[in-house]
Amino acid sequence: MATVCSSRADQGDGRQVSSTAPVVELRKVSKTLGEHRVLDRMDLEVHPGEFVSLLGPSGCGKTTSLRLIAGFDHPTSGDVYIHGHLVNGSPPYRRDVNMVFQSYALFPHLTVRANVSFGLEMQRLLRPEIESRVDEALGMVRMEGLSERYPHQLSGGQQQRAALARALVTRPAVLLLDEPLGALDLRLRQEMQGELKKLQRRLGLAFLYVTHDQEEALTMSDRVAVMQGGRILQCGTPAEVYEKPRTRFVAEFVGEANILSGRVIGLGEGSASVGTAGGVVRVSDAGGTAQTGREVTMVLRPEKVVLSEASASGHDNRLSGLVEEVTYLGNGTRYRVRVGDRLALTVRRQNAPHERAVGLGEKVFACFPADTVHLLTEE
Amino acid sequence: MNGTQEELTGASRFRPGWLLLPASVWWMVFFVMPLGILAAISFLRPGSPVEWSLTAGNYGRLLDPLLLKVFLRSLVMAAAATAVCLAIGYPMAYFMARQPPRLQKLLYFLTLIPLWANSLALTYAWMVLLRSDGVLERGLRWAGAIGPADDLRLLYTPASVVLGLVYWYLPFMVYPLYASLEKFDWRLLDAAMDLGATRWTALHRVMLPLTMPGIIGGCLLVFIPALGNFVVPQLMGGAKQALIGNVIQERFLSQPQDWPLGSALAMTMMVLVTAAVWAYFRYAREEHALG
Ligand SMILES: Nc1ncnc2c1ncn2[C@@H]1O[C@H](COP(=O)(O)OP(=O)(O)O)[C@@H](O)[C@H]1O
Ligand SMILES: [Mg+2]
Repeated sequence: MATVCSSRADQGDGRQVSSTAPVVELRKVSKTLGEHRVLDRMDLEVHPGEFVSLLGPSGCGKTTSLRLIAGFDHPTSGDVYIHGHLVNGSPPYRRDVNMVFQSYALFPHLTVRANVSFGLEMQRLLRPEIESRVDEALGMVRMEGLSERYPHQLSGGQQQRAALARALVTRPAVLLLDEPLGALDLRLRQEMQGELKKLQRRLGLAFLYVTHDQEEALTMSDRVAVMQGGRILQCGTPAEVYEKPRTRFVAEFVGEANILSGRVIGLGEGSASVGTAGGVVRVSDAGGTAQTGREVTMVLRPEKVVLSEASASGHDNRLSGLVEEVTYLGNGTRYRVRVGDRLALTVRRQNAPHERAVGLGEKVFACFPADTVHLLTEE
Repeated sequence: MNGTQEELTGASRFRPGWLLLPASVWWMVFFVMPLGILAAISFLRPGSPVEWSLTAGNYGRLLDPLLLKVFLRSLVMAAAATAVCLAIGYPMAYFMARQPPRLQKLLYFLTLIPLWANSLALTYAWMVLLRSDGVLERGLRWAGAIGPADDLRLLYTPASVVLGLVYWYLPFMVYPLYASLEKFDWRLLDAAMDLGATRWTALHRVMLPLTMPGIIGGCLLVFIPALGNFVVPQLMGGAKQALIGNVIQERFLSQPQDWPLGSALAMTMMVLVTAAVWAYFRYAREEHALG
């Protein structure tokens, strides 16, 4: 089912997002390219000042949705609104949105300064105003010293900044960013993530940010829309999407996940017992969706599981198993614990000072509270 | 990128000289020798065909007002043909480059076909089409667009010469244009329109400057040979539309022969064209070096 993606007044992390009309809104937008249905009844709202991410694997339609908003393509059916106005047929140059392209698309025959001033020249502003606004935009992205360079004389990170300045300078209602950091190496990417976020907050500009990197989406966004096959599967705050994924795909795409499936064998106060391949698992079921005998699928995040040697009490769930794989990650360790013939759990542990290392082949108990197990409500 | 370029130039520095020998021989036999002969003849006295004594007077004889008029007409005709080729060739190349790759190959192949056919035969075909009471006039007459006695006088006009030149050289305009448009990053047009440029402004501010090498290349490939073409003006222009190529040809082949004058004319044309091209590239390099 297509999911409506609209923001609530309170964003969970305490950040207030104004409840004014959305700057961009997609209503049941579908796009067919050739035989291929690239977008399928997509709904999306971006509110003023909001940072919304479209997160999904390559080919799921992220770029296509940005192109429909920018006006390079037009929906096969459904409506696109900008500032509440229906813009379905209007060309890109009449839309108050700017795009930062995947791999930038800077004009190679123009200097950084000329690239940035391009949009202002199109608005036919006077030269002094153009100059001062270009300087301001270059300052924002810390590119003042490189304004006379040509794009091919810039590093990847600098090109990225130039592209950002070019898109920012005309002060659009919303900035569309298509994997803007995808071409950068890890260090630079993390640095730029911070800078982008700061800039977005400072300018109070709405960002619609496309990425296939779940960590990037979780750390930067007010809301994340997880996409697959041209649909938004789930849309919510990073915490909602991570802690309460609605489908298996969302659970597995947004971070590591143990998927436990089994049959409900007992019901308690807001909880249920599920028989799995690793033993009985108690799961909190606040929504009361479980019924005895029903097949269910559950998600357990690797960092919620504690490994203990003794059969210590005080945990809702305690599955005994054998450590069959240990992977050192630097800041943590990942274990693979076999708890049944057809079930092995991935467990993640921080490398804290007093943690005793658990060795390969050791017999352990995987312990986790009932409320860390999340019942999937959709398939 | 920079690293690779340095390695390449580094490698060429150590290439032994004898590897250049075959190319040098080829160059000498097919390029330098004929040119040398031509240059030598241009400094001989006219006779039948030449007299073996030196003079520089042939170059003075070029200042004949009649020759200057033909020269000027040649420039105008070649320029007009180049302009028309560009006006037709650019949209053609643009259209080709926007097709899916398979179709691009097919279209490219189709534009090659006129090159395989004999240019002379094709020019005759145009004459059959355009001449008085030719295919075109008969067709129009049959359709009632013109009266039975009307003669449109399409052939033997400056326009028919330009048409012939355009038909002859259009492929040479299309290739360099296509080559530069094929490399063009179409997202740049999106980027320009995203920033508020209309489609037309985007084409003219972004695509035009970025395909300028193709435009210049195509114009040179059309203008230079069109300037010296003598078949088209002879067949489609008649006596009144003679171009510089016709004059050169006549001085060599028709009575009274005057090889030295023909040679001086050919040499002068070549020097002028070379100087113009050289000046252009120098200008282009300086323009680029500013960046
Ligand atoms: N012109 C086209 N014709 C047919 N299919 C296309 C075209 N452009 C993109 N697609 C398909 O649309 C899907 C979505 O593409 P895109 O929006 O670029 O995905 P993403 O940006 O999420 O990687 C892909 O499966 C791609 O193959
Ligand atoms: Mg994409």
